[in-house]
Amino acid sequence: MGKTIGIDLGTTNCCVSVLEGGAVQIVPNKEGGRTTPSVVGFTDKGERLVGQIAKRQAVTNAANTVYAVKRLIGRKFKSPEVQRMRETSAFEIVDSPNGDARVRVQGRSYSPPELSGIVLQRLKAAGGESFSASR
Amino acid sequence: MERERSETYDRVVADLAGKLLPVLDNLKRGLDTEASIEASESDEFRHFLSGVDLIYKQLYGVLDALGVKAILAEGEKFDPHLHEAVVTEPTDDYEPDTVIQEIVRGFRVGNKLIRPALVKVAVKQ
Repeated sequence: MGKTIGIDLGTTNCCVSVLEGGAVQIVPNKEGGRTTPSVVGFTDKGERLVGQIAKRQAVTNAANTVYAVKRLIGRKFKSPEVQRMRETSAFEIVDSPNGDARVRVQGRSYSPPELSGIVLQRLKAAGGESFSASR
Repeated sequence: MERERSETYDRVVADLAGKLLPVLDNLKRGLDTEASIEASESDEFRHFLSGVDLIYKQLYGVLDALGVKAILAEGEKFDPHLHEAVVTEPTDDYEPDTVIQEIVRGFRVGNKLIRPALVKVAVKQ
């Protein structure tokens, strides 16, 4: 039977768990942390950093480090929530033809679910490594 | 099998060292503070202080023997895999993205990071 996993995609942090023998176990990430910051950083070299590593370089690369993107999911650019976030975010939040809020990084525009997807991909990779190691 | 054993060793040492390092940090902070008033104190006090300094070095040596190594920071290119930027300084004296000050020393054992070095990074003016 396949394993049951749970993912908490939080605004600030994410967490992956697995149901084993009736008990929930947290799956640690590659760095050994039980939670992974919901942060994606894009470097000048074209690297895509996710989680703790992205957070560590946020101060030096603020315009290209995206965080708390869950707050933008499903929101229109003109909504008060998005406008409020624009005032405090170091990264660029832009309008789109259908009125949804998007994030522009290094000249490319990303939808908020796309950025959350990048974090989820990393969680999935860490979870996959952990499962294959425990077999 | 060998790799698995090495990873387990690194994880156990990293866990232990992670708990000991704040004690080492506080001992160092205490020594740094006392060193500044050392000259004005008596001989007995200076002997006592150098004894505490030897204990600090002994503890550092034990961690080193376990494979715990300090992360190079000052003068190095900023690397988020090893360093955590806590502040930036606009300057022309250094290449952008160069670590110009180590605020808290980082450590690792093997390929496992125990904690990143907290650093100040140069940015373009």
